[in-house]
Formats: sequence, C-alpha cells, structure tokens
Amino acid sequence: MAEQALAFAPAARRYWWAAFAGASLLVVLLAASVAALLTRGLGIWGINAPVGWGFDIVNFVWWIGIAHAGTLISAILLLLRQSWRSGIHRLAETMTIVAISCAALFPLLHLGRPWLFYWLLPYPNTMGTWPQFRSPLVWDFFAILTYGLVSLIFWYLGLLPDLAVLRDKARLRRSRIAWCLLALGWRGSARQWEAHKSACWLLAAVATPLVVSVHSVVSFDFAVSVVPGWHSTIFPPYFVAGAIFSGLAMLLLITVPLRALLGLEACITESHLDAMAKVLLASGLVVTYGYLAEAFFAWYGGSPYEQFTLANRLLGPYAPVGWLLVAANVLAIQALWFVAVRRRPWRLFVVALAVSGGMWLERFLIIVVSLHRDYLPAAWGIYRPTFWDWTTMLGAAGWFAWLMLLLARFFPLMPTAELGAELHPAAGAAVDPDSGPPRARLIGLAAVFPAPEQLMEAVRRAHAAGYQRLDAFSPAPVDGMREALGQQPVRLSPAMFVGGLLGALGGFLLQFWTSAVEMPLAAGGQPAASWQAFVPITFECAVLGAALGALPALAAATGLPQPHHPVFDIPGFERVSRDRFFLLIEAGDERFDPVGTRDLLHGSGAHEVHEVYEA
Amino acid sequence: MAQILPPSANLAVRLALVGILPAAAGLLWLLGAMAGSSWVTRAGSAPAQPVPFSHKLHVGGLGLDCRHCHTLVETGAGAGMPSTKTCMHCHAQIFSDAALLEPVRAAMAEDRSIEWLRVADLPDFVYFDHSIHVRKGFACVTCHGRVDQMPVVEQPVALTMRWCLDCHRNPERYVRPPEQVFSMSWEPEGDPAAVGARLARELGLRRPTDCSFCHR
Amino acid sequence: MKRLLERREFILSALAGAAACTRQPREPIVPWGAAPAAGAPEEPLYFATATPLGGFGLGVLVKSLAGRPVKVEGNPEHPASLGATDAFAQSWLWSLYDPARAQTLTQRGRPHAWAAFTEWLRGALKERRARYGEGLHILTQTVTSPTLAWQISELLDAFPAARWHQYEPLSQDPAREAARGAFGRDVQLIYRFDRAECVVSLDADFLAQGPAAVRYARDFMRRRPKLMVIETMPSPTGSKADERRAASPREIEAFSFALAGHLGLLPDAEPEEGAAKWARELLRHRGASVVVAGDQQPPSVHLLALASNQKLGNLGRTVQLTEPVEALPAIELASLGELVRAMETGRVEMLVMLGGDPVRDAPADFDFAAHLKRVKHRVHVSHYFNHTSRLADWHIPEAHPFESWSDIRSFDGTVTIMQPLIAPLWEAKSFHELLAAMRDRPDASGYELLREYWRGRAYELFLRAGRSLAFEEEFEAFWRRSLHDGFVAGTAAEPLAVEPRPNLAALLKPPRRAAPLEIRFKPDATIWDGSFAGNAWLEELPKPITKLTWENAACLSGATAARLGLASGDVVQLRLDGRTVDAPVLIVPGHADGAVTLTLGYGRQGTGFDAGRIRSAAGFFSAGGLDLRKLGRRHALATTQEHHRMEGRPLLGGAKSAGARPPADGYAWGMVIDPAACTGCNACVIACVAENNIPPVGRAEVLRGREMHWLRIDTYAEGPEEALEFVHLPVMCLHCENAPCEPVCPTGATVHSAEGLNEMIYNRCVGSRYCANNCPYKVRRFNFYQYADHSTVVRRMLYNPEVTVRTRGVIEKCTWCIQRISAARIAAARSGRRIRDGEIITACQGVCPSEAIVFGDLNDPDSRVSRLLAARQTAALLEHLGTRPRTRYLVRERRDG
Repeated sequence: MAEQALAFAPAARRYWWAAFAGASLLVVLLAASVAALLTRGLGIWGINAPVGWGFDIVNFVWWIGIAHAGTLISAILLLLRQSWRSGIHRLAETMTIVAISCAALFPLLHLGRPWLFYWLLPYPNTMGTWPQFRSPLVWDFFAILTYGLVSLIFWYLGLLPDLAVLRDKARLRRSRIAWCLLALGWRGSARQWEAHKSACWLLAAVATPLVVSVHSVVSFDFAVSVVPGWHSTIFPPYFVAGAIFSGLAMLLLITVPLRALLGLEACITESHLDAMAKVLLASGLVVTYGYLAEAFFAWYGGSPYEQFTLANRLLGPYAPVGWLLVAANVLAIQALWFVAVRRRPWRLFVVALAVSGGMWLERFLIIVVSLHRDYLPAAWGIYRPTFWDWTTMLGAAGWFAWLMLLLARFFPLMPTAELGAELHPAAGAAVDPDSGPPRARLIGLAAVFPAPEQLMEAVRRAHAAGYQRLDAFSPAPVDGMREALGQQPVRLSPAMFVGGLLGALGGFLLQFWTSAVEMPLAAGGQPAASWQAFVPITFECAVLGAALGALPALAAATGLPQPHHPVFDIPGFERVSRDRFFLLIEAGDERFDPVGTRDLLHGSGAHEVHEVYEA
Repeated sequence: MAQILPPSANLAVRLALVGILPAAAGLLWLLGAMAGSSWVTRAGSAPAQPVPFSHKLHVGGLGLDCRHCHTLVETGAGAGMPSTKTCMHCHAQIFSDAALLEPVRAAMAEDRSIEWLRVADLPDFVYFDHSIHVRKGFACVTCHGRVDQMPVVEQPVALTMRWCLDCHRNPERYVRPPEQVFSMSWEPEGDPAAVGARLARELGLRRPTDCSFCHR
Repeated sequence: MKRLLERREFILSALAGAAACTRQPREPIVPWGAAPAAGAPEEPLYFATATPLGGFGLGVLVKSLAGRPVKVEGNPEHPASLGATDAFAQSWLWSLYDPARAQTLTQRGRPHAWAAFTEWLRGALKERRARYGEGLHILTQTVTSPTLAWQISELLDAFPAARWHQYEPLSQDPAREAARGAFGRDVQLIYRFDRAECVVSLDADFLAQGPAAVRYARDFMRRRPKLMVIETMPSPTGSKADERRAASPREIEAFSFALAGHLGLLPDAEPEEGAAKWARELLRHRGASVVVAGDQQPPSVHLLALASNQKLGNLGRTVQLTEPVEALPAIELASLGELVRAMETGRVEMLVMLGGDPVRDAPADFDFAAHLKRVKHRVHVSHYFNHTSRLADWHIPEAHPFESWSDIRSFDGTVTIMQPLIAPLWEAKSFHELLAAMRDRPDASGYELLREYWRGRAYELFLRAGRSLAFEEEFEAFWRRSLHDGFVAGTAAEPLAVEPRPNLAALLKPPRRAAPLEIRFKPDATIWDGSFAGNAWLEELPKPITKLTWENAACLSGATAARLGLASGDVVQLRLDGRTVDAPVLIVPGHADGAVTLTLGYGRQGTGFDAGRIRSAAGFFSAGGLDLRKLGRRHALATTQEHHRMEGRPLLGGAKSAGARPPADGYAWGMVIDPAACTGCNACVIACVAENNIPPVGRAEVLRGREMHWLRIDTYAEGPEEALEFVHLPVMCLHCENAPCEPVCPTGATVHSAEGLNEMIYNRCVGSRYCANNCPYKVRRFNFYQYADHSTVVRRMLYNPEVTVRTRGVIEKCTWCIQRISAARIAAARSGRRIRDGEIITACQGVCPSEAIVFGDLNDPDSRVSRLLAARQTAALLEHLGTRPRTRYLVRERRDG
C-alpha cells in the first residue's frame, strides 16, 4: 500500500503524460516571455508611472504565500503532534520548494537590469559599495534565501528514509547507485532514527517563526511605504494569514486530483481533507477579519487618502476585482462550515480554486489598485496587463506544474516510512538461504525479525544478558528502542544554538559595519546606524545559522553519509526499509562468542541469524 | 543484499559534501578577482601609441612641466591633449626630420588630428575634473604615476571607484602643497600624517563622498 | 569633440559592471590640429542670435559646447526675451539635429548640385527678364528681415512686373484691417502690461501665444494687474484670470459690443450684466487699463478694443502705437488670394516659394494644390520636404536658423542679426542665398549679403551722425557689438503719434447672431500652425489645460458634449459648408458651450487630424453652422493627465510640518515656486528636456503612461463649471529632507547629499522601481525601453555632454541641474570663494517668462530664495506627509475685490 505512492497505474500514467506535456508547453512559453523581457525591456509589460509594479510583484507575493502552507503543515502540525499531517506533509513540503522557485523568479525578472541582481548581495567589490540594508527588498532577498534553504533541508531530511526505500526497491544498477547516494547510506539504525526525529523536531521549531517572519518581511515591502493602502501596521499578521490561506488552497488543489489519480484514499483520508478544510476556513476567517480591520482603520483613521483608496477599491475602475475578491475569499469559504463540503474532495476542490484565485486578486488589489490612484490626482493612471504579462504568469504556473509532476512521478510524495510504521508486517516471507560473501573478519551476528515487538524483545534479552555493543535496524522508529539499547540521547540543539548565534551576530555586524562605518549613506533622513532596520535580516541570518548548524551535528550523530556499510551485506537487508527488523550484536563485545550469541538470538525468536563480515 | 557501493564511496561522498563550500567560495573569489584584475582595469598596461612619445625623455630628461603640453589641466575638466602644433613648436627645429616624428609632420601637413589611445580612462558616467583636483593640491603623480620614468606611458593604478573613494575619504593622506602638484618627486619633510593634516586644514579640504560629485 | 560624444554612452560600461570580466574598450583621444583660442572643449561658449516665430524673432543665447549648439537660453538684454524663452525657441535644437530634415537639393526627387539649380534658374529668369518679370511670383511668409526685404525689393526693381505675396496660416490680418480702418494706415499695437492695473482680454492669449508672449508674461507677472478674460477655449491667459467667462466666438463678438456700449461708445448696444461690471472696472482705471483683442478675433472686435482703449485714454500709455514691424504689411489672406487667382488664370509662370507649406495650410476653398499644378516653374525652399515640396519641381533644403546668417525683427521692431553656430549639417541654403542667386550671384554667402546690407544701413546712420572719417572701423565695431549684444541698438519701431478716427464703433455693423454650433480655429500650443509638426520635443509637450500630446482633438464643453451625447474619445465627423473631417472629441473643463475648438497643423506626421480641411477663407478663424455627427468609433487620446479635480485634497499645505532644515555649514540648495505666476506655458518643461537629455518616448508610450518629463505641470480646474479656477502646479523632484524614495532603494542608488539634494545615481540603479512607487509626488521616471537614441550620430550631437544619457532599465528624475551646480561649485572652489546667489540658474528657472521659479542657497540669508521664504508664506506639497521637501510653493495671496 505504501508503494502505491510511487507506482503509477497505467491509466494514471496516461493522465500524467498529458499533464506533463501541457506543463512543458507552458514552460516553453515562460522561456519565450523571459527572452522577450531581456531583449526588449520591461516595456513589454503593462507597468507604467504611477503603477510601477504589476503582475510581476502580484505573482511574487502570491507564490511566496503559497510556499507557506508546506512548512506550516510540516512544522507547525508536527509541533502540535497532529497525526493527520503525515498523509500530506511531504506533498506540502514539496509544493513549498517548488513554489519558492516560482516566487524567486519574479523579484529577479522585475528588475530593470536583472543582470545586475547580485548588487543586492553584500560582497566586497571594486566599487566599494554595499546593499542599502534599510530596503525591504534586501530583507526580502535574505528572507527568501533563508526560507528556501531551510525548507530544502527540512524536506530532504524527511525524505531520507524514503530514499532508502527506493534504493532497496530499485532494480536497475544505476538507479540503485543514484538512490544509494541520495539516501546517504541510511540504514534505519536506532541511532539514526533517534537523530532524525530530533532534527525534524528542532528544525520545525526554527522553521515555524521563520514562516511567520518571511511573509511579514514580504508585507514590509508595502507596510513601510507611504502609499495609501500599503502603509498599514496590520499587514504582517494579515499577510501571514493570507499566505497560509492561499497555501492550503493550493495544497488542496494538488492533493485532490493526485489522490484520485493514484488512489491514495487510504493515505489521504476524508478526515485529512476535513482537517485541512477546517484550517482553511479558520485562516480564511482571519483574512476576512483583516479586510474588515483595514476598512475600519481607513474610515476611522480619517485620512482622506486612505478613505479614498478604500472607496476606490470597491467603486473605482477596478471595482470588479474588489467584489470578486470578497466573493471568493469571504463568501465562498463559508461553505466549509458544512461537513458535506469538507469531506467531499471535489466540492472542496472548487472552494480551494475560488480561494486561490481570490488571493491572487487580493494581491492585485493591494499592489495595483493602491498605486494607480495615490496622492496627486494629476498623477493618477491606469494599468492594463499586456500579452507578456499573462504569458509570464501562465509560464510560471506551468513551471510549477512541471516540477510538481516530475517529483510526483519520481519522488516519494507519500512518506512511506512513516505510513509503513503504522502497518503490521506481512508474515515472514521466505528469505534467500545464507549465501554469505567470501570469509573475512567477522563483525558480528545479525538476527532478522518479522515485527518490532520481537526485535524489542530480543534487544531486551541481549541487554539483560549484558551485551553492550548492539544495534537495531527498523523501517520506522520503534518507541523505547534507544533506552532498550542503552544509548545516549542525541543532542542537536547546542550546535543549532551556536549556529543561530553566529548567524545573528554576523548578520547584524555586517549591516552595521557597511551602513554606519564603511559607507554611511544618508537615506530618508534616517541615522546611518538605524539598527531597527537591521532587525529582519539579523533574524533571518539567525534562523539560517541554526538550520545550517544542525547539519554537521546530524552528520556526527548518524555517521552519515555512509553509503557503504557491512550490514548491507546481510541477506535480505534490503527489506529493512520495509518490513524486516534486524538486531546486530557486534563481535567486538567482550561477551560475544559465535555459538552462544547465535543461540541467544535464535532463542529470542529470530527468523534467521547471519554472520556479518567486513567486506 | 549486496553492497551497492565500495567502502571507498564513504570517504568520497564525505569529501564531496565537505568540499562543496570551499569550492563555491573559490569560484566567487575568482569572479571578484577577475573584476579587479589588471586585465579588466588595464592597470599597468601601456597601449601602443601612433607616435612613440617618451615622457621619460621629455619630462624626466628635458624636465618639461606637465602644463607645457597639458595646457588645460588648471582650468578645464580634461587635462587637454597637446595639439599637433604644440609638438611642432619644438620639432620644427629639433629632430625636424626624425623618422619617428613622421606621423606628426604628416598630421600637421594634412591638418588632421593624431589619434592617441586613452591611457587613464574612466567610465562615461564618471565626471572627473582635473582643475579642481590640481587646485586642491592633488598631484599628477598620485594618479598617473612617475611618468618621468615611463618611456611608454602606462596607467599605474586601477582606476576603480574603491580606489577613488580611498582618497576622497582620506584626502590628507595624499594632499600636497598646491605649488608641488606638478613635481614628480615631492616628499613631505617630517611626519607625513602631520603634514597632510596641516595641508588639509590650510586648504579647507572636505571629504567629498556625495555620489553626485562624480555621477550626474 | 569625439571624446565628448563618447562620454555619453554608458551602456557598455554598465554591462562591464554586469559581467565582471568584460572590460571597457580603449577609447581614442582626438586633439586639435591647432588649438583654437576658445580654450577647453568643456568650456561653454554662448552666441547671441534669434529664433523665428510667425516671422518675428526672439532674442536668444545659444550655448555651444565643443563646437555644437546644445542649449538655448533667453537673451537678458533682448526686449522680447529679457532672459526667458518660449517652448518654440527651445525646440529649434531638436530640428537642427533632425535627420528627417530635407538634406539634398532635388528636382522632382532627383538630387542635384546647387550649381545645376542656379544654372537652370539663370535660364528660367532670362525668359522672364525679357518681359520685365511678367509671370514671376514670389510667395513668402511674413517677412521682417531687413536684408531679405532689401533683396526682394532689389529683385522687384529688376523685375518690375513680378509680384510678391505673403502668407501665414496664422496671420495678423484682422488686427491689420482694423488698424487700417481706424488710422487709414498700418499701425502696430504694443501693450505695456507693466503699466496696467486692469486688463480685459477678448479671447487674447497674450501671456503664452505669439511673438510677444514672453515679454508680455514677464511684464504682466511683475505687475499682476487685475485680469478679466472672455474666451472660447481655456488658455494659459484665461487660466490666470481673476474673472473668466467662457463664450463662443460670436458671443465674444456680441460681448465686445456690449462692453463698448457700457463704456459709452455705443448708445444703442443692448446692456449686459457681466460687461457692465467689467466696464466699471475698466473705467475705474482710466489710462492704466488695457483691452486686448485676440489675434484670431474679427476686425470688428479689434476696432472695438481700439475704440475702448481710446475712450479709456490708454493709447500712448498702456497701449503704444508704432510703425509696423513687417517689411511690407499685407492682408495676407488677400495677398494669397491674388496669387491663387493669378494661378487660376494661368498668369503665373514661375513661382518661388520661400518656406511655408501653402498646399497644406492655405484655406481649403482656395484649392491651392490644384492651381499650383498649372504653374510652369515651381521652386520651394523649406526645412522639411512637405506637401508643397512634393508639388514643386525644384526643392531646396532651407538652412536652419542655427546654421545660417540672417536677420529678423522682434515684435517691438528690434533687429537681431542671426549668426550660425555650426556649419550646415547637410547641403542647405538660406533665403538670402537663393534671392542672391536670382540676381545672378549664385555664390554670394549669407554672411556677405548681410554685411553688404548692414554696411549700407550703418553708413546712413554714420552720415546722419554727421561723421565722415573711419567708417570701416565704426562699421566693424557696430557689427561686432550688434552680434555680441544679440540686437542692433536703436532699431525698435518708431512710436507713432496718430489718433484713430472719432466714433469708430459707429462704423461697425451689428454683431452676427450666435449659431447653434460654432467652430474656432486656434494655433496649436505646441506645434503652432504645423510648422513644428514632427518636432518630438514639442509634440510630446502636454498642451496647456488639455495635457494632450502628439495629436489634436475637437475640444468642447461637458454640457455641449452631454447635449450631443458625446464622451471624450468618441470620433465625430465635423462638417462645415460641405467639407468634412473626422476628429476625436475631448471634453475640456471651462470650454464655452455651443462651440468646438480645433487647433491647426496636425494630420501631417500621421498623428492627429488636419483641421485645415474644413477651414475656408470665409471662416478662417471661426465660423458658425458647424454640423457634428458621431461615428461610433473610439480613439484613445494621449493625455498625460486624465484627472483635473483635486478631490477636495489639501495638496498645498494641510497639516503643518517643520520646513526644510538645512545643515549649518556648506551649501543648502532650495527652491521656491510661485504657482500664481505659472501660466502653464511649458517653456520650463522643454528647457528641462533640452538640458537633461530627456528622450521623447512617442505617442504609444505616452498612452501607456510612460512620458519621461522630469518636470510636469499639473493643472487643476476647481470650482463650478461656470466659475472654474485653474491652478498650475509645476512639479519636479522636490528633494525631500525625509525622502521616501531613499530608504527603499536596495542598492543605494538614490541617496541624500550633504547639500540637500536627492541624488539619483543611474549607474548604480538596478531598476526595482520601488522608489518610484514610494514617491508621493510621482516625479520619478523609468526607462522601460532604451528610449535614448544612442545609434543616430546626428541625434547624439544633441545630447548635453554634461549629463549622463540614461540606459534601459534605470530610474531618472529631476536633479536640480546638478551639472550646473557642480560647474559653479568647481568654478567657485577654483577661485576660493563661495558660490554667489544667482550663479546657478536651473534650466527651468532660466527660461520661465513669468519668473515663477527661484533656486538658491538656503544657508545664504541674502539669497533670493531665502528672502522669499522669509517674506512670503510658503507651503510644501502634501506637507502632512512630513517629507520636508526643499522645494516649496508660495501660497497665493488673494486679491480683494
């Protein structure tokens, strides 16, 4: 059943190819649009004065918003110990990575001279210049970079056991090598499971504030400006809620068809959908509250400009956008109060579709509709998207679909291991007889068990018998195994703390030194050392530092990467990633003796016992 | 199950992972190094000129003042290149038939310009004014080097913005008495720092780091 | 020179920054063969000359850098300029470097040498000479050039039977007719607004239109008399009125009668409330008031104005009578009529046309083209190969005013000797040289001819002065002085002591009754009569009030549009006695009901429509009986300002914030603008364009809202339609102390200088446009495409070498002419002194006829700007935002009563 996540039925394959072909076309369209942009200039878009940002930034904010559901579901739900998360979090994380790649596209393309994008990076250069760290665009740069990297690490970490599964199932030699390298030699030892769990947990802990910070920073692009309709203190929470909202919607848009296509009803049950729908509704209500608050402040604040902007959104030239948005983001979600909608995939799908569209319109409303009529009536204008605006937007969507399809086809979008852990193994299938490798130095004896309980029992006995150098291997973490083996707990937090501290210090000092010491520039009448403006980047650097700090510690704890390991020689060991449980008693143990130990293992109900030799 | 990869793979993979970072860093460093390299900045390169004019001979040997040929240096933005006529002032008498000077005589005869190659070249969006630098006590040598020792003139330093800024931020390190500006070999007597500080005070030097001083 | 050309391209270097490993190519240095006296190639030289408009001159100083004219400034000593210019004067630079100009002498499209033409000319004239020039006709535009007049008269002496015709599509005919009616001779009226207390304008746009406008605006704004205007189409003058009435042409005529009536000139004129009020106002200021009739008003209105001024005792005081300035004053419509009749009867065998485009702009009912075809020999001289050129069998490219010798008189008669700044870029001849060729002197240069004439003139003066010795020296001195000063001393038109006939008004037949729908033909605010059509600098100027660019429209009032069921952008067919033209409609606030206004000159370069097609001799400036039919098509009009209401926003002032706080030491630049003085004439806008290498973007881009002007004039029309109040707000970068654009720039490409400038560093800009979004004044412009022309060599000659030419993808905006500040700073520092007040004049400030813009050092308590700030109440734009702009606006002081 777990395998279903990876095996496309022939019918499904046909659908997949059709979808992939369509997506590929759109990717070509994207390439063409970018080529046109680079050769002819931004003029091919509809932007102008006063509307300096159009579809480009609308799409950016929309995609980065979508990118938030992934980490939200993995991290926050993990911290909240929501078991229903397991069905969909891998899908969500994958979606995040891909969505970030879409989002990152637009800040790059929207530059008048994109080939100079690296001027936003702080690096010593012959001009002696540095980025202007008070600019939210630079904050964005760091936020997206951090978010992208952390999400990638988080995703890959979760993926490791499943890559091992692929490795062990693979038939072709080259794919086995490929998976073997990607799995870094994961062998499901108790220690590895221990480290894996704690790493996931801690990363979730840092990723959660990160999610909040990233979309807050994105909202600063607008909140710190003077444009009526942008300059608002409620933007950060309001944007974060919106991000979760749109992200969940997109997740549903992907889940529902995939579920039907691959027959994942068992992994992604209606209660999964129901739970997602509830969160969608909740975040939707928060967003609605945001709208009301914004309107209220506009009216109550008494600024004629803010009031006009509000009125202009619902009565101006772009009024349809305003009303559509209300219909989609406020009215449509009310359907989610009803089980009949929450537990019916395709009805849910329709609501999600409305929300995705609605959230895109919201970004359009905030960005374009605020800009086109700001302070001086004489400077008002109108924005009309051009052909290339649309193609670029569709192209990006195509890129998203294209990557998702590829990953869905070739990557474990279902966390096999976790799901596997919930299963009971098939009764002992026949194992190929002991055809040991050429004799070499004996490393130990390995016993094979059909079920975690027996493994645990065996470990207890061995431990009772005074064995010290034991190791257990299983397709999924087995509760209490570490204690049973008498191993020390894995500690990653110190390394992450140090990393975070270094990141924060480095980030702040870099900004302070460049802005206040090396090249002080007077901007907007602010002091050179305006430390408040340095907080966002400092924070992002801290999170990045912490996440990166975890990696070496993780490597140390698990001994990974280690694609070669004697236990791989144990006959039938490939099933360790699926339905077999192994106990290894090392020859190095002073209580070890080939006969006695073998008896002990047989005694504790092992199917077979194999000698493990140095290869 | 048989091993998929040999034992050596472990070390290889680990090295690869650890190696990524320095490799990336190295690549970036290389790019940076190229941007500042003398190949890009043309520092120290001496283009072949239509006439093999030797500053070493004229300045170092004959002791001509810079202003003798670069007449506009005290009044104009550009230092001013000598007209063909200026050359012929002397070379109508001296070496009047030297083969080396044939291009000059030809230019004079046909009343066309000699196309020299620019040695000290700033980007077109940089607006440099010789007259004010000279007036404020910044010597020709500071930027153009000891031309009196150059048979073929070359640009000794890379004219990068960082290099300009170094002086614009600490003018006292480079300032001289204005009357010494055209001297090839002036050395401050006494503690350079003290001399610089005094001169900076006397000349009322500021630290002109406003962007618009050079970029318009 | 080469070097200065190279300087402007920074694409390469920008890319060099991009890919770290590309490097700049070696650039050549091209020194002089023999250095001229001029000095450094960067040192600007100024040459005094004049630019023509409708035959009259405006004295200017043209800045020449490295041998290229790059900027036009006013000539402070010239009576018509006093240091300012109009938009047209600036635009001559664009046309100088316009590759679209006629470049070769052609015979029916085939290129020929000048010699070949003169050869042919000699032959053709030999035939004529036999018959005393019978059948030889010359068609010129209005001629004030003394030398040209002398040459023509000599020619007519040689060919007694030859005929000379003059024609301008925007002639002074009505005024001339009125003068002849009143005085029995030609008399020129010159208004002295600097002596007026109260001015009534009968549809006269004297502040912004015509050869005297610059001087009039200066005089008027220094005095600020009470102004009452009645007009059809809202004009800059109307926008400055204390009392403004919108009226159709015939209503205006009727109003003039009523006004005269209330002044006691016409006992039997029916009374009119408004007229009575204005009359009382005028009578209160006897001898210090002016009644001005618009150039395009019928003779009757001019007569009434004249009579009113006489009655009010203004003649000789605020209204001066002088000898006419034209060499041969003519009723030009009649003059052209004669020519057409002659052509019709086949009596014209050879027609020499000096300038103009009569085929295009002669009255439609003259059918000039058809008749022209019947002329045997047709010679045409003009800057551009226009419709007339196509029908001519010889076309000679006309030398540009900046590349040829000539002379011209300004509105007050003062003569300027026009000197060239550059050798003709292409093979071109001046009128003088052509006329010389007709007198068998094909190789006489303009220079010789001018010297020849002026030696004669000088000799007269010399003899009159009763001297006899050393004439040559005197002449050389006179010549040099005249060239240097930019005008010939003592050549202003002689004042006349003539009295108009008594009871003039009585001569008049009663006014025509207003028609249901009338039409009014006006000169275009940016391309005049069409002679400036295709000049991108002018074409892209937003026309005052309408803010329309690159085209014209059928302008009418909201009420009229509603009555006819029309909206802006609807295409209608205009039918006037049988002739039709299709035009898009534009609703203009403050336009008179029951009338449609068309501006002339469009429909040539493909943009706009040709109003001339329904313009007949009878209805030359206005007519009744217009028929208008909606075609159901729509047309997008390229306006730069869609919205003309303030939406009740306190744009100026509002919540008070601390004003600009300059740093204690060094310079602190600041600017004060007086909206009350601004007429919206656009001179500043085009001056800024010329000084700062601002590229035109074309109609399509303007439609997308991408015009690049650093300085724009926002025009608001406040109040009820019948009593609209117009406000012109020149808005450029205000250089805020707390500039919102600065902290949001990711690369620090826009930062604050110690002297308070908001700096924009193009070469550091990556083009995120964040600054533009965050600028509450929306003064930042973005290069969406590569707008600046790097490829056309002759276009590159136009660029001001002191200002970087921007490349694609960067933001640009007003720098307060940083290049001028730097130049002054360096000059001052070189001679170890502070910059003096008035040493830095920004481009916009320099040309402003009404002195609405003042720039200077806020740290200098005696600077004009400091004194203004101290003396007058000022406000910042959107003060409540706390951006603390360094540019502040004078708060209008309301005139009571």
